[in-house]
Amino acid sequence: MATKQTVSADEIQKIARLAKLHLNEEQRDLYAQQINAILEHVQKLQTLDVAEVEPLSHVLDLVNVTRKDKPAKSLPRDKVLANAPLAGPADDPEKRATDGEFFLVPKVIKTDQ
Amino acid sequence: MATNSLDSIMEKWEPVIGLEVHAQLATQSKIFCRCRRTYGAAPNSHTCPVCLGYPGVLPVLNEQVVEFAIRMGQAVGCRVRSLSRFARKNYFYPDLPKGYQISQYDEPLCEGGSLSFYMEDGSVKTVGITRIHLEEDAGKAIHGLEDESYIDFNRCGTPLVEIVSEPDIRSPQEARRYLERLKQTLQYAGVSEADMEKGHLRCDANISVRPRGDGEFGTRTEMKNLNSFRGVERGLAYEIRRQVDILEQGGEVEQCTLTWDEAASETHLLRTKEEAQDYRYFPEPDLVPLEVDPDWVKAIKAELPELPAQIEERFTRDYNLRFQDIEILTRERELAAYYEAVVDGGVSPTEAARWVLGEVLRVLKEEHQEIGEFPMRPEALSELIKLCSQGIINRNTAKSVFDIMLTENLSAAEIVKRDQLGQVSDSATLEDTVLQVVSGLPAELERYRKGETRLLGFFMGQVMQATKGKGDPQVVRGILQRVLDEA
Ligand SMILES: [Zn+2]
Repeated sequence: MATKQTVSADEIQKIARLAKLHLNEEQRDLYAQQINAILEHVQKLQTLDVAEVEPLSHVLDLVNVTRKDKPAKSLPRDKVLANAPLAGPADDPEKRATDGEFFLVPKVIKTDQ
Repeated sequence: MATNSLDSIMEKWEPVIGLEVHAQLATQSKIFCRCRRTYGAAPNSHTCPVCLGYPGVLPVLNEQVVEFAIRMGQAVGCRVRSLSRFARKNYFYPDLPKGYQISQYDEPLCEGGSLSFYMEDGSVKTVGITRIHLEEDAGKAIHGLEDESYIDFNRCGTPLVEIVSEPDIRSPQEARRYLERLKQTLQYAGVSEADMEKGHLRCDANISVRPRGDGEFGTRTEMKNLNSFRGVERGLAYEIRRQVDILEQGGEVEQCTLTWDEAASETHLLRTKEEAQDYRYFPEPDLVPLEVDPDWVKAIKAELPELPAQIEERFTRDYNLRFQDIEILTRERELAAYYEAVVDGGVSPTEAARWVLGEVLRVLKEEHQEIGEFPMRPEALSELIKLCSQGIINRNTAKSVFDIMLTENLSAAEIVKRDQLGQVSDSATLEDTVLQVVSGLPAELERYRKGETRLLGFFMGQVMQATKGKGDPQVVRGILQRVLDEA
């Protein structure tokens, strides 16, 4: 029944861009091939009759894992900032991108969300 | 930009507006971790591996968040889904450490409610609520003057409800009133502090225009950053003009996302249709589905605090006040409670309203205070008003006593006694004063007796001055009249 669905190299390129991945042509073709193989497998699954099966959105048979609204201690700030990305100037490769209070990032003007 | 007034534009064109409002919930801790929810804390002092998005951590849902969202849903008449799910909204931005925001997508917690409110002319407007869903807030990016931005993750993981309206709003004024009513409802329901200045409440809008009488919707644009009541009204008016301008010149509105720049009073283009975001939502694997027991919903509904429409109705029924006064008295729950406490102190509702709307609001405005910070207890104000209505002091004296009470920790009665402000209504004392004043003004007395009776006011003023304002005006008038008319 299902017509064969394939993902083009352009679509791979778009998905990679959204994931902020840089792929070369060789990788693009390889991933297109692999993703198409996965889609083919899914198409095979889609031929099964699942009319009697409840849709599953989570692999665990659980609902409502919650907690009370009780605050606990956060991490000390120096520990948090110690994991700032390496800022990496040549003369000080161990330097982290922080001023001791904030994480520092290249200036961004909001275009997202 | 068109110079036509918005009113004349709106005669021909009809705006169609829907609002998306994010409100921070007033929990103690964040939505998926136990970091404290804070405002104004030292940067990055309230974070942990969960809200910083470290690999391998597991978010656990704060049940208070669910209760607050259900409560808000009940306050606006939504259905609560018996099963709802979380989803990942994927995008990259430095204030979002995980690279995705946990939100809800096709199975939100609440759906299908409405919000009603008064317009300035007293008419009632109802706006449909499409959905209310749960999500987490992102951190904060502060853009430096140089080429760096500063990131503070304290806000990351703060619980939010996103409240999406139907495109039922038809003018910038309606949008403003809707937002004011939503804020009021969030506060009355006790689910959010809803302080816009602290960013507890943030508003985006979808907007299109169409010729009046047209059934079809025009092409809509999305507007972000309408984060004050004034901003909502002005930003939408600006965008309506822009769209009408394009259409009247025969052009077409292009689908795009704009951001409102309050300081510059203009919009900036964030992205065009081609650059539209692709969030690739998918079910959040780290969180199990949320199943809501209908009995829990019933219990939350039964325990709903009094809501704005209910308190307005009660004030109208019990206190017989003007609609405009009720609107102001009930805008904030704390002010309404203060007013009621003054009435409960044994004061007539009309007198209490006069003092709260007049003197109390005047001082709050002058001092930039909230009613919670107002130094005078409502019982103390009741005592003062009673001294006034019993005729012990007159209204002007009462206003001075009011001001003294704000700075000195004394009761109205104590101040009146200490400063000897009590009104003199003893007729013997007042008669002496009247006779003294009148005998000192023989020329005026003669003119009065020759028929210039409007001089009565002049004599009143002189006598009141002689009593240093403490004479009971009614008693003084009676004596004066008698003395003047005694030929
Ligand atoms: Zn945390």
